[in-house]
Amino acid sequence: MKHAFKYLAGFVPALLLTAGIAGAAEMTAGEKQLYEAARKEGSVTWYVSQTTTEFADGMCGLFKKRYEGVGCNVVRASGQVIFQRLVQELQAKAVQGDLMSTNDDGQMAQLKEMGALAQFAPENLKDMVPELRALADKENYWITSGVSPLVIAYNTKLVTEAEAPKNWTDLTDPKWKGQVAIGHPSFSGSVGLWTIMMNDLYGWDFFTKIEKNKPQIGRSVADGHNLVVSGERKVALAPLPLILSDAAAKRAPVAVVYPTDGALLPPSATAIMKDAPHPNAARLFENFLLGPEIAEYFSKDYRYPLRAGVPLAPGMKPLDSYKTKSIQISDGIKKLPDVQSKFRDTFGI
Amino acid sequence: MDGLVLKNLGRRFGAVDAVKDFDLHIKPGEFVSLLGPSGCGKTTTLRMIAGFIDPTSGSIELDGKVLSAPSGSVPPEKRGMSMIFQSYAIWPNMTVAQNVAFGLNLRKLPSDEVKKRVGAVLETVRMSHLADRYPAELSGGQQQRVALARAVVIRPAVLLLDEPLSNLDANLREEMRFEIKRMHDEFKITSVYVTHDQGEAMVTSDRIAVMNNGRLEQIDSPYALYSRPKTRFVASFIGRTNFLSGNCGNHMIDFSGFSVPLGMLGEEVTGGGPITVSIRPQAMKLSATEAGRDKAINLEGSVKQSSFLGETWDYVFQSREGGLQFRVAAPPADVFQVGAPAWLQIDPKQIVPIAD
Amino acid sequence: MTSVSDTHAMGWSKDEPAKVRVPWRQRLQPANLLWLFLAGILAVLIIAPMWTLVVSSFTDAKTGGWTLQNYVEAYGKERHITALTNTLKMGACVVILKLMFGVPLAWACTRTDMPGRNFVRYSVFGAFIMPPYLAGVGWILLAGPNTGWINKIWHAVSGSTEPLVNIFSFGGLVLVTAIGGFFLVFVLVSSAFEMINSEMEDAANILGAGPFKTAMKVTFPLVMPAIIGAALLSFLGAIALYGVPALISIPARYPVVVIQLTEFFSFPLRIEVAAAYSIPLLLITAALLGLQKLILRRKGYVSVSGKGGERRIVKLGRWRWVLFAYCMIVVSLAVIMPLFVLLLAAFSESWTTGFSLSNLTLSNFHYVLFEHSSSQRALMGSIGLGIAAATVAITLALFIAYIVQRKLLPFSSVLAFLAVSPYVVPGIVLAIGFYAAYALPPIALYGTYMIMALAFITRFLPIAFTTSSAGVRSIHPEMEEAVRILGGGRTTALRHVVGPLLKRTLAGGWLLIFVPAAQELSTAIFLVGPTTRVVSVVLLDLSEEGELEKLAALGSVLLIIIVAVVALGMKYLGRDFMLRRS
Repeated sequence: MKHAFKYLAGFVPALLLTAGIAGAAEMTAGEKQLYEAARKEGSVTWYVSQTTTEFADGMCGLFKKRYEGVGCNVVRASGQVIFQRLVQELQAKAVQGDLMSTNDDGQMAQLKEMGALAQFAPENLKDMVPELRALADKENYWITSGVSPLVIAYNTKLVTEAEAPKNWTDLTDPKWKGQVAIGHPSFSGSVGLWTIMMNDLYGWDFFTKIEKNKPQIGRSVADGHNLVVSGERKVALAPLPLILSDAAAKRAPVAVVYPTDGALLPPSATAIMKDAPHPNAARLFENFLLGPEIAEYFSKDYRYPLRAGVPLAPGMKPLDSYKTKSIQISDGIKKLPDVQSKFRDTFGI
Repeated sequence: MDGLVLKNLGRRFGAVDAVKDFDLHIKPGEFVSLLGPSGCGKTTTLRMIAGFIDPTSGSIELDGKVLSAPSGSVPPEKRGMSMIFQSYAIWPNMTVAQNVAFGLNLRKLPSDEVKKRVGAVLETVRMSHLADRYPAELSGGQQQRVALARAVVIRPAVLLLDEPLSNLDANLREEMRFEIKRMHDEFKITSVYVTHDQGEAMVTSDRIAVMNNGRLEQIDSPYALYSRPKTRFVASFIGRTNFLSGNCGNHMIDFSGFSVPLGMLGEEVTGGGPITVSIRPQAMKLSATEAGRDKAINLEGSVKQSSFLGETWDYVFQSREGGLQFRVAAPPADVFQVGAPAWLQIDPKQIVPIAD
Repeated sequence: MTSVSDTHAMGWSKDEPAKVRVPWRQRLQPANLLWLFLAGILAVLIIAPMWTLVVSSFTDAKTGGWTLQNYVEAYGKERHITALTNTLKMGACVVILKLMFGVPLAWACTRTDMPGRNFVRYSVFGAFIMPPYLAGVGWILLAGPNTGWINKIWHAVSGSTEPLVNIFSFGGLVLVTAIGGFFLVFVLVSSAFEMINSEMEDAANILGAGPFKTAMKVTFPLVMPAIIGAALLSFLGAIALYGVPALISIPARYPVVVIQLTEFFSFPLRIEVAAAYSIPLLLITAALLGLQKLILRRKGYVSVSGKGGERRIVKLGRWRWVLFAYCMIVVSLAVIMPLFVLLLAAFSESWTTGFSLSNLTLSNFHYVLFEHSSSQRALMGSIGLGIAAATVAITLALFIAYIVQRKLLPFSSVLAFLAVSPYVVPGIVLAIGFYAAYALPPIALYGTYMIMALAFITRFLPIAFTTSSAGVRSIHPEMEEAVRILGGGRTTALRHVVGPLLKRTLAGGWLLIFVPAAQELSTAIFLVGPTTRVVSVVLLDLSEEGELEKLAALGSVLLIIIVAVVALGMKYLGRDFMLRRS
């Protein structure tokens, strides 16, 4: 056991080192200036619901590699929980997070309205995929920091490709009774948007029908993916990158279905808090999110890179090759409380 | 005034007087017991002497220095006394030797002196061989000896003992009474001993102060207390006795059935009217025949009950005239059947008039 | 003022209760200041949070004026009422199950010749060390409807595709909540059994009652006060527990109060509504306490709480194996099964693939120990908070208990009452009170370890006070008087006698607080800040991401640390300090 630990302890840092060198690039003047200021501040605290803890930790690791001497603290929770935390802090006038990344840009709009966000246009914006850049705030209160389409995952050991659902309404088929998993719109930001989308598409009927299949309700979207991986459930609402990376690495018997009625495309957004305790470190970090290291890191993990010209991971479909749907920010804000409440009434939780 | 002086001492708890108007002078080196039933105020008095309770009236002085008064008191740790507690209060976290040495160490004595004195006192209480034991490994009697050693080793100005034998069994209690007496004879420490057991008080004490309802009833030597009780309470609390009511007048006391000339009593009686006397069972003698004609008091009657107590007979005698009942002690050889006629002689010198 | 007979029988406590009272004019200024100081601490810890909770439940969030709107909002929806009734239902079922687990085991271990009594004792103790949410995760691995091990075995054996057991159900919720807390029932009822003099049972035997009848008619009624007290505590524990419902009641779709409270804590944040919604928990607790008093008073149970006499164990004959089997079922459900799967998962690549050599790995441990962003700090935070809470609570409680027991200060009973009062406040309600009182400006303790430490100290103060108080009571005041009459002051007495004598009691109490404080989730969930996360919260987040293997690994690390501390404590104390009285 001791031996194995020693082996792992040597191996993992080495892995990180190689990853770091690959994307390194010269610092620009503006970047250098931010770096110096950030070093004085010491570290950045990043509230994130956009990715899993493990993935976010990896991003922080890359950041610390490039900007030696600047710390990076990840605080990860599901979208609504992170948002609630931030609102709590704003109310307590004790903001501790420097910046926040979420899958629900509606939250950003609300924060902007509360006057809680700082304007910032990172240098790296110029190299962004134009379509993704266009999803962000026009006044630069937040940037688009990723897109993770919500699709259907199924367990390939338990379900054949032919049996697999083709679109969202297939999930209401009685053959999936006791075998579906979805998230909760009151816990997960992207599930909130998904609930709005489904309600817009099919009315609340969709949810009363799927309720009959007794779906397992998780708190975050990652939950559904893991339930399919473990075989606890056969099909689930899940984020595309998790499915693709697990499937490609043959870590788990899982495959993806791009629903014919449209995958949800929730733009992830990142914004800097106006009262951020480490404003320069936050700016440095936001700029870094749009830099080459992260683009490569995203691509490797079957996420859509934010920078133009970075190749997609093998087997990944370009965004414009399948049907996607987005929810207007104003729509999201307006409709979310209603669908959350209806969801609680229908599912009793 | 030398010694321990309690002046007009009183202590109220709420509306209750636990101790009231208590006067006592204990001479240096004297051993005095506070004797009384539970609730009589003896423990309160002792704890006031120790300084654990402050008086609400009166004062306590030691060799002329005021220790306690309602206006303020010297705390227990500054009185130079020591105390043996009912529970022994041997500290279980220290060995026998450490327990005994504690008071000496507080006095900052040099360690070889401490060692010497601890060794000597443990020798005196015959505990030397157990010096390194912990209290949990000792018997009750041994713990008691440790408590004794711990208390006397500091050569206290006053030694206070709070029912120290009440948790021991009968045999051990007997033994420890003499142990305490012996220690007192050896060290001559002014001692105040609280007990409700008259036997203990009598064995150990130079004088006994009998307390009742927070007041001092009588203070005297054990013999005087027994033979000449001054109150009904003292007469009945110390040993057994017979109470007789009579009428005093014309140089005689008239009881129902017989009279006694006042001049024959052991002490002078003044005044007239109703009077109560105490006659100890040992002050009378029972005879089968009218043998003691010459005796002043010789009553005819019969034996009503008898119980054999080992060292004595305990008879109940009823006189024919007046129907008076007496409890009489008789030596084992004097055997009477119940119902048998008998004559009772009373020694008039041992008829003690008491205050009711 | 004493007599041999009664002092001997009852100890010193009845001995002139008023004698240590100090007259008013002699109450020195410093003593009064000390009283004020302690009362001040208790006000900060207990009165202010609870008062703020009640006040804010009547406060309009926007205008700051008086309103009933929060109550309308809290109880205006059927769903909210359902959560409340669900909670009561669950609480009642949990109490029944805990008693079914705890009482027979306590009886078996204290009064019978059942084999393996020590093994059962230690296993029950294991249930105390294992936090409820870890037991919950263990049971998800065991009884998840499709991939739980029990169901997989069932599917393989029976060919059925329907799950045999489903942890995501009301029954699952009740089971997991019950196994997490029946330790308390066991301990309380055990000590009550140990107080019963066998002569009471002999009296029934001699009148013709058999062993079973004696147990039912004499023994169990005698421990009734302990059972009722344990039931009350169990109920409180069950309705205020956060971790298990978070894991199970959402998928089971059985809403309960604590989950509803988190909704009020989400956007838009409605602390006032949360406060209004938690008032019934307080009222229910108060009502139950009143009920307990009523029951115990009417039956005149007080007389049995006297001294223990000689105790004999009941010879069960072959029934002892039946009892043993029952005990084994209980400890398997509570400890052995969930702990086993948890450890296996911690060492597995994927818990669903089952046991095989290729599936074995240490990577989960490496991840949680060296890679995960907050687990190292969370471990330090949990252990640190456990140590701080236990130390401060015990110290504070010792001061108060000493003052109360020795009647050193006027109105000391007020201090005693305050010190035990958090006992009736569910942890999650306490957290909301602390949040409302201290998180926001002007005090602004949000996101600090301080606010969590304060809340933990408050939460565990009753345990600390009860332990300290019993300890001080066991020290005869004459022990200290002996020091004073020999020339030592009160501080000398405290240092040389009271301190050393209480060492073991206090160390035992310290452990009794450290263990739950290092695992505390219910109080922590609303109070953690981004940099003050504790292990329990990190574990909950891992469960949300579905990272059960990593969760199991981190949980195991926490368990190992706690077990190590407890083992050290036991070595120091020289006996199993919690399971048997000296």
